[in-house]
Amino acid sequence: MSKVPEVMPDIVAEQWSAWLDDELPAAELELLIARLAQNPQQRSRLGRYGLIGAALRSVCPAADAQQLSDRVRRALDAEADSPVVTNSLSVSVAPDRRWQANIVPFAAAATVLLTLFVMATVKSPEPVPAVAMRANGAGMFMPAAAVGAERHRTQRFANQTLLSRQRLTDYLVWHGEFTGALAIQAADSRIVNDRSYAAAVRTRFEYPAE
Amino acid sequence: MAATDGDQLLVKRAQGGDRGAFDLLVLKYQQKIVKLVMRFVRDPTDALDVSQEAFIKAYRALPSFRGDSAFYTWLYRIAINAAKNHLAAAQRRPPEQELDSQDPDYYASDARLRDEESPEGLAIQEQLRQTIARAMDDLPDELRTAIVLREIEGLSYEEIAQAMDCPVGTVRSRIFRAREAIDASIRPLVS
Repeated sequence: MSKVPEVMPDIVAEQWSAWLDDELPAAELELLIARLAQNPQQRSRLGRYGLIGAALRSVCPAADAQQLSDRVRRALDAEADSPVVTNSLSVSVAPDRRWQANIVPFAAAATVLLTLFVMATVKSPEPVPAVAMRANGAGMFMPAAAVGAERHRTQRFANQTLLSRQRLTDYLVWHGEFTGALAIQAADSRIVNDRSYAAAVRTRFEYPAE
Repeated sequence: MAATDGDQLLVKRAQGGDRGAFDLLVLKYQQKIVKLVMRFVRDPTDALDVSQEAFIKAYRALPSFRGDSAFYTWLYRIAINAAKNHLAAAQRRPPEQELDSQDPDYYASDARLRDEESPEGLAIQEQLRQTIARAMDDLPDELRTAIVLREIEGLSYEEIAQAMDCPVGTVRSRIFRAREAIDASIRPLVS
């Protein structure tokens, strides 16, 4: 009789081994999942395979991690038996922020107080009489206060236009005189005005050419 | 088959109420999650509790998992949050080394990781490591090569088959037999 090999080939275990390496075809995986339920010993074997891999990769093997799958399974079994816990399936993946729930009432109270304070301190605008409607220049009916404001705005613009015109005139006059004082040929100046011309003529009369 | 394909299948089944499928996901990732949590929670007992909590939270939140990311990436975030919550509850500061929440594989591949466990835990780990090393030495060459290429080098079965000039089915068988042989040597220690 031939010698029995030390390691007996086990098709299912080999499939598990390949599955751990992500090398098992999906079709075989379907069957394997069904077999796992029938053979709980395979679970511990799978855990040891993982341990071997961790040790070989020089990552400190956590021997205790073997228990983890059993613990998780027992905990989930216990939860399934408890109807209260089973209903709470909405678990946030984000960090625990239950402390935020405690400050919500305080935040709401502070908001209300702040709103009341603002309402008490800020002066409300004077109401515009609804009946005081007047027509403006364009024939549009506007509230009386708005018509007054528009008139004021138009007057302001008119004043500014006048002021700008005055300033421009002054600039041209003074610039023309300065130019005329320096150059006899005032006509060449691009700035044409009476005062510069007069200045040029006066200069010519006072200092006639020889 | 890519990891995401296999995981997606299991996730879908778990979302449909198949607890066995979720059990498989726990079995697959328990080592990684415990090691990850132990980067925050140094006490091994607490780390196991937090890891358990993370898996249970993941199970409850499975209906909201749409599969936009890989299952392990999602699970990784849940585990980190569970660990941080545990630390906050214990009013302890997290370790100085900042965790890279975008890289789930960082810890799985980082050989610098060392746990500050109890002397007993360290002794068990050392014994385990020595036993596995002896079992590896006793393996036939083709089995040792296959499992080294897989577990240490991270090659796929296809790549190992090319490297060893053999069919993929043979690679699968060799890796399994290597695991079985090592498993036989560590079984007394672990159980």
